[in-house]
Order: sequence, then C-alpha cells, then structure tokens
Amino acid sequence: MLKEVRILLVEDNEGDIVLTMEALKEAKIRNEIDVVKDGEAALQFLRKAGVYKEASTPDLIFLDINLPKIDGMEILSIIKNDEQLKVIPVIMLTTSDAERDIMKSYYNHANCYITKPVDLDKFMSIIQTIKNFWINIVKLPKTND
Amino acid sequence: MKPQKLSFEKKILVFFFLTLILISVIVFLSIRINTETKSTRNWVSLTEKVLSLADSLQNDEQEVVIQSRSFILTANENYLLSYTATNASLQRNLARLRQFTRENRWQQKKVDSLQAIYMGYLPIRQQAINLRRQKNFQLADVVQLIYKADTVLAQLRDIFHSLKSEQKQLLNDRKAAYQKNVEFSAWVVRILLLLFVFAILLAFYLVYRNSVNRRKAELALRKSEELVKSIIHYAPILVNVKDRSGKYILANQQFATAIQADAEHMIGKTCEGIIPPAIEALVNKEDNEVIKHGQPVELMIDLDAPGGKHTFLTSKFPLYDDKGSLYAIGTTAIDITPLKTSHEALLKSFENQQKILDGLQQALRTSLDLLCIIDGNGEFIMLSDTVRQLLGYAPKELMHKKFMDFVVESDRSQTAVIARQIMDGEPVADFTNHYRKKDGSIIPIIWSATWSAEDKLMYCIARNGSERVKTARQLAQSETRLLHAQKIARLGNWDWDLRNNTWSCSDEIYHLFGVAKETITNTQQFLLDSIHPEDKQQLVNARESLLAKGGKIDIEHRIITANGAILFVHTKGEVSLDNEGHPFWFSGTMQDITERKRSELQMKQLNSDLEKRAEELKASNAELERFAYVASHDLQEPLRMVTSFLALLQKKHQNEFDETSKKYIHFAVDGAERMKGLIQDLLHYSRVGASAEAFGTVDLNVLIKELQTVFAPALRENMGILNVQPLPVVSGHKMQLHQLFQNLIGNALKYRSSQNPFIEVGCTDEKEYWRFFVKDNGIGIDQRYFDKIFIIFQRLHTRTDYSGTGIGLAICKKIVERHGGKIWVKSEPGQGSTFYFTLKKSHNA
Repeated sequence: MLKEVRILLVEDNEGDIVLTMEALKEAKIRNEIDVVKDGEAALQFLRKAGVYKEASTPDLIFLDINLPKIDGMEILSIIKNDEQLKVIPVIMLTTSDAERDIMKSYYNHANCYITKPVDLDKFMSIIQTIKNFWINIVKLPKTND
Repeated sequence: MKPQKLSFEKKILVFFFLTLILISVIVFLSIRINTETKSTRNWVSLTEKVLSLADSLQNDEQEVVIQSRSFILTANENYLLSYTATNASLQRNLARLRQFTRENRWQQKKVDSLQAIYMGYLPIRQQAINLRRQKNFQLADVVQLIYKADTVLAQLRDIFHSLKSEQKQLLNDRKAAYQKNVEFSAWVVRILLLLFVFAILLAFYLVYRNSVNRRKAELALRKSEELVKSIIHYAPILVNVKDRSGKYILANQQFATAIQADAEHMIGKTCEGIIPPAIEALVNKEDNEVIKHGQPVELMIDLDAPGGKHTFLTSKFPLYDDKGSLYAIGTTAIDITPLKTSHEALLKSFENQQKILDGLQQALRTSLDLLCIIDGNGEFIMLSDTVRQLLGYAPKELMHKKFMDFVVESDRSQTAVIARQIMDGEPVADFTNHYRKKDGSIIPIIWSATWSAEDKLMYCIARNGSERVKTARQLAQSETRLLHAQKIARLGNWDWDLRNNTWSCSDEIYHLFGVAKETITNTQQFLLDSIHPEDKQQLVNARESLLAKGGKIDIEHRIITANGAILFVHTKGEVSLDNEGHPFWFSGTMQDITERKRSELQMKQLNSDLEKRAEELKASNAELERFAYVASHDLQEPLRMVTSFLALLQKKHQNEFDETSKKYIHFAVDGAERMKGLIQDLLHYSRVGASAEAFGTVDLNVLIKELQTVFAPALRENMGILNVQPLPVVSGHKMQLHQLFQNLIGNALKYRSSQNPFIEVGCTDEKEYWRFFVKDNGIGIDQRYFDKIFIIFQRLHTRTDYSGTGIGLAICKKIVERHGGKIWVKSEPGQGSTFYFTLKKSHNA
C-alpha cells in the first residue's frame, strides 16, 4: 500500500505555488498538499488554530524565506524550538542563494536548503529528487493527528 | 733550612751518645787485638811444632839408613832391632805431621807424597835386608838395592827441605801480619782514648759554662721583673692581666683607681662587679676576640669618672707561655682625654689655616693676574712673574722703572689723576688704561690698587683687559644679531624682575603689538590689555600660578594689536625661584604664529571635509552594493516566473501555437535568458564587494595551474599557447584572484585574431606592488575605448560577434581595486592587447 504523505507548502508567490504543485503532480506523488501564503497562516496551520482547526499535521514542510508578516527564517526558528513540531523535516525552498541565508537556515536546524532554479526543467527535476529522497528513501517520524 | 740551635740539654744528650759510641769502639778494638794475638800465638806454636817434627823425621830417616846399612855390612841382628824401633817412630811422627798440617792443603799433599815415597822405600830396604840374611848372597845385588833405596831417600829429603822452608816462610809472614795488625789497633786505641779524654773535658766545660750563664740570666730576670713591676706600679698607664677564664692575675694601682676598686682584692676574680657595668660587655667581647684570633686589638673605652668622661686608648694583647699556647690576656690603657681635647682643637685650627692657605695657593697658581708693588716714586719694586704674559717683560727688566713710562701717552694724564687719588688713601678698583708691551703692541689693563700709608707703598693687582673689551664688543654684536633674528622670527623676549617690578622687553615685542616702545609706561598693564578677551582669563590664571610657586608657561593665545588686528602668539616663559623658594624673575618669549595657525586651521578644515567625503563615499558604496545585491535578488524572482511559465507554456501547449506565436515566445524566452545573464552578472559584480572571506596568502603558481586545466580544452581547440612565467605568492582573496586571471585569460582567448592565440602571463616586482600582465596577440582595442571597457555592461561588440554581458573587465577592475591595485590596458587594433594590473604586497595599512 502506497503511503500518503502530507506536505505543507508555505509560499506567497502564486506562480511558485502553481509550479510546485505542477512539479509534485508530475512526480506522481500520492499526497495531500496544504498551502499557506504567509508566515502567520503557517503557524496557525501548524498549531491548528483559527480557521485551521481541522488541519492535520504535515509530514514535510516546504518553506520559502520571503514571506509576508512573519518571514520563513522566523517560522523555521519557531518550528525547531517547538517540542511537538521540531520533528517535522523542513525543506527550505527559496529563490535566494545568498551565503548568509543558507548559513542561517542550517543554523536554525533546517533539514535541507534548496535554491529554486530559474530553469523550469531543473525545477521539475529537483522536485523529483526531493520526492525520491524525502518520500521514498527517508523514514519519516510518525505524526499523530 | 736553617739548622735549629740545639738546647743545652739536647747538646749534652748528643754528647753522651757520642761518648758511648767512642767507648764501644775502643772496647771492640781491644777485644779484636787480644783475639788476634791469641790466634797468631797458636799458629806460631803449631808451625814450630811442625818444624821440629820435620827435624825429628829427618833424624829418624838418617837413623834408619845408618841402622839398615850397619846390618847389611855386619849382618848383626841388633842393628835390625834399632832399625825396627826407629822405623816405628818415623811412622808415628809422619802421622802426627799429617795431623798438624790438616788445615793446609798443600802441606797435606806433601805429607801424602812423603808417606808414598817412604812406603816405596821400605820394601826395597826390606828386600836388601832379606838378601843379606841369605848365606850365598851376591854383594852386587845388595849394593844395587841399596843404591836404589838411596835414590828414593834422596827424593824424601828434598820434600823435607821444601816443607821446612815453606813452613819457615809461613811463620815469618804470619809474624809480620800480626805485628802490623796489633800495631795499627794499638794506635787507633790510643787516638780514641785521647778523643775520649778531650770529650770529657769539653763536656765539663759546657756544663760549667751553662751553669754560669743560668745564674747570670736568673739575675737579669729578677732585675727585669723588678723593673717591670716598678714600671707597672709607677707608670701613668692602666695595666691588668686576666687568665683565660677572665680572672685577674695582675692589676696595677692606676687601673684600680680608674675603676674605683681595690687592686689587692681584684686578683682571682672576674671583672663582673668590679668594672663599671657600662663597659663590661665591651671588655668581655674584646677579650674573647683576643682569645679567638690570638691577635692584639685596640679600642677606645669611655669611662665616667669623677670630673667628667675620660677616654682610654686601650690595647689588649695575647700572652703566650713557652709552649706557645695562650694563657692570659694583657690589657693596657692610657687616659687620652686631655690629649684628645687638645688634639681636636689643634686639628680644627690647623684645618682652617690649611684651607685658607690652600685657597690662596690655588688662587695664586691659577691666577693670571699681575701682582705688583709700586713705591712712592712710582717705581716698580716688586712684580709677579705674570708680568711676562701681560707686558712681555721679565720682572727684572721692570724693576725700579717708573710705571708711567709704559702707559700709553694718551692715557697718562688720567692715570696720574687716579694714582694721586689712590695715594690719598682712596683705593681704586676696575680702572682701565692702556700699556705698551715689549713688542710695541698696546694692551688694555684693568687695575685695582690700594695705598699703604704705613709702608708708603702702592699694592696693585692688574689684569689683561683685552678679553673684556672683546667680550663687550661681541656682546654688542650678538645683541644686534639677536634683535635681527627676533625680527625675522617675529619673536620677542621679556624679562620681568619681580623684586623691583621692572620690565625689559626686546624691540620685537613692541613691533608685535604695533606700538612704539617710548609710548608704553606700564608694560604689564599694556600687555594684559592687549590679550584677546577670550584668552585673558586663562593667561591671568597661569600667571597667578607662576607667581605663586614658579614653573613654566607654554601657551598659544591671541592678542589684539594697536591697529585692531588679531594675532596668534606662542608665549613661553619660566619663573625662577630664589634660594628661599620665592619667585624673583620671570623671563619668556612671545612669537607671532598667526600664519602657521591660519594654515593649520585651513588644513584642519580640509581634513575634516575629506573625512566627511570619505565617509559619504563609503556609505554610498555600501549602499550601492546593497542595492545591486537586493535588486538582482528581487529581480530573479519575477524573471523566474517569466521563464518558468514560458517554458511551461511551450511544454504543455506547443501544439496550439502557430509559427508567429512560437517566434514571439522565442523572443520572450531569449529576452528572459539575457535578463537572467545580466542579473547574475550584476549579482556577481556586487558580491565582489560584499564577500566576507578574509585575505590570505595565495600562491599564484598553483592558481594558474588550476586555470591551465580549465583552459586546456579551449587552447587545444584553437591551437593556442598559454605561457606563464613564475609568479609570486601574494596576499589576497583566493576566489577573486582566480576570477581575475580567469576573466583576463578568458578574454585573451575569446577576442583572438586569425593567428593561433599566444597568451603570456608574467609579473614584475615594483617595491610595494606586484605588477602583472596578461598579453595576447588578439584583435586589440582602440585607444578610445581603453577606459570604457572597464565599465559595467559596456560592450564594444554586438552579441552576434562576441557573446557576453560586458561585465568581465568590470569585475576585474573591482577585484584589483579591492586588492589595493590598479588595472589598465595597452593595445592597438590588430596588434594584440596587454592588460596590466598591480596588487599591493601588504594589506596591513
């Protein structure tokens, strides 16, 4: 039985949301993707607060850095300092390839850092690779809903 | 080594031994003579016995011959009886002879042969006898036998003779030797006996003399003991003797009196309780010192006696017995109180006199002054030797000459007035007139003189005045020079006599203030009034502090001159204190430093402007870099959207587009691609400034080797050569230097001409910099564009000819500048280009 993986995509750019969804679709992952468009929403989602009362805990988080309200770096820090949330792998998926962003992410215990390539094909193949690694190879911790 | 003189006892002992040896020798010799005599006597008797025996043997032999012959003639048997008896006696005597001569080997031999011959003779004789007894005997046979026997006997007789004569000779020799021996020994005994007698006499004399001497010595000792006792008793000196345990053995009356004790009762007691407790410790300490070192010590002991303190010069000395061990400490002390007092007084007065005398002598020796005495007639009657230096005359030459004759004529009248004044009892000091020297030259002389009315003599001291005249002239000159110098330096000086409150200012002070010296009455007030109001308080405070406790002032302030101009001046001064610590003199300088001050201010202004500009520039550069970084970053995002969705469109809806749409999409994609390149380059460019990586040491040879690998395919493809000279190790940013060389070598390959590319990389040492070059044989650059090529996004060629965004050299320029260097190009179109750049060797600054 193929397992179902829940991914939370934190991304404010509509284009990127579409592209990521396309890529994940192409990668033929049986999954459920939740999308939130700002940092505050992401935190509410994870804490099942407000409108996200019914939300389920994700197995994997795709996190952008440039986000409205609370930026990605801060979200990462909050997740990784939260006893319940810190077990969830966080993949930084961002346009920036700045040294200090990379350093800061890993410093805050990001599980991996990926710069979105400009080229569509490359983007597709990267998402494919993420799927392979994080969904097929890696054993993820069990999350209790 | 010097032989030690033997004591009398030892002498006697040695003497006794010698005598003993002498007697022994005499006894020994006597015994020897006796033995010798006895043995010689024995021997003589033995020899005599041998001789007599030899005689009787000879007799017996003759007897035997006669008796045997008688029988043969007569045949009477009675003869044979005597013959037999004599034969037996002869045999016995022969045996005795053998016994007597047993100690003489030669004689024994002779006895042997004697016996052998005799034994040979007996049978012959017996044969003759037997033959005669026969009735019909032949006489001829008997005669023949007798003849034979006689021949043998003749041999026997010879031996007897030789034995006897030998024995006689021996006897004589023995006697002679004995005589000689006995005589010699007798002589020796006689001489020794004489010696013995002499020695006894000598011993007696020595003993006698010794006893006489001893008696004399005892007498002298007793005398000297008496003498010492008297001296100790009567001498005005303190004496005592203590044994090793510190008990008094002897103490004289003077000692007892000095310590106020009884001399009789002191003996056998230690000093404790006898001498004053104040000096007890000192005395004991010094006694121990003497015992410890065995050396005399000297010390001063102060004793409080009635009538004041007395000082005793005390000597303590060890006393040794005849075995050389210390058995007592002797002490003598002399009261030197009166001596000390008078000595001190004498010393002091002598010292004073000596000082005066020394000073005078010193002064006279070192003085160049002329001392002279002139009598009432104006004639020299005494001159010191210094006149030679002063006037060139020897003292003798001037004696009894009138001094006035040597005074220069023009000075004579005035000199005469002064001389009169002196003779009237008014001493003159510091009078100058001119004298003519022996060599004709003229010399100024300064005089001090006084008249003694009692002696009617004028006592004069004179000195060469040339120096003073010269000094005065020099002083005037140097003052002029000083004033001149002050004028040039615009520096004036002042002296303020605080005791008299008088001021003396150089001309330049007045010049500075723009006033005439004569118009100023109260200098202090004038100076104070002229100080700029803003600086006045500061100066007034400083002056008060200086006048209270002395010290220095060094201050820059402003003054207002008479015509209202403001001058900056530098005032320096010092207040001197007198011996009691009160300020008495204030001197200092004041210099116009307006010009310097003005340029300093200008410089300050310029510097601060420059700093401000540099700050601004730095800020704007940082701003620019931040802008470029953020812009390129934020530009990436929409661009990614454009390209991604164009790609998605192409991928998903390819078939729905016609050719025109496809062409438009192509342009859109191409534009986006270029935009991407530009943004990435811009990002790259901005990062050169933003990189946080620190400078390190970079071996450029290693770096170039890496690049050779990178460019190897391109070089191979274009048949190009990259020629690299040895490069230095530099201080810098490795990634950036890599980029720099990569861009330059890449350009050289990219802009190649129709020839095969030939690229050279090298370096020269330029002291503070390394100068590198990258030379190619490419298409070259027109001089007009030398500056333009280093500007970002400036291109010289269309994209169709050469790809690229035009950022390579801009990045190179930025990298070089970041390394404190410069980059430039030399080129001609078609002649290739050479790019030069410098890198600073040290980045410490």
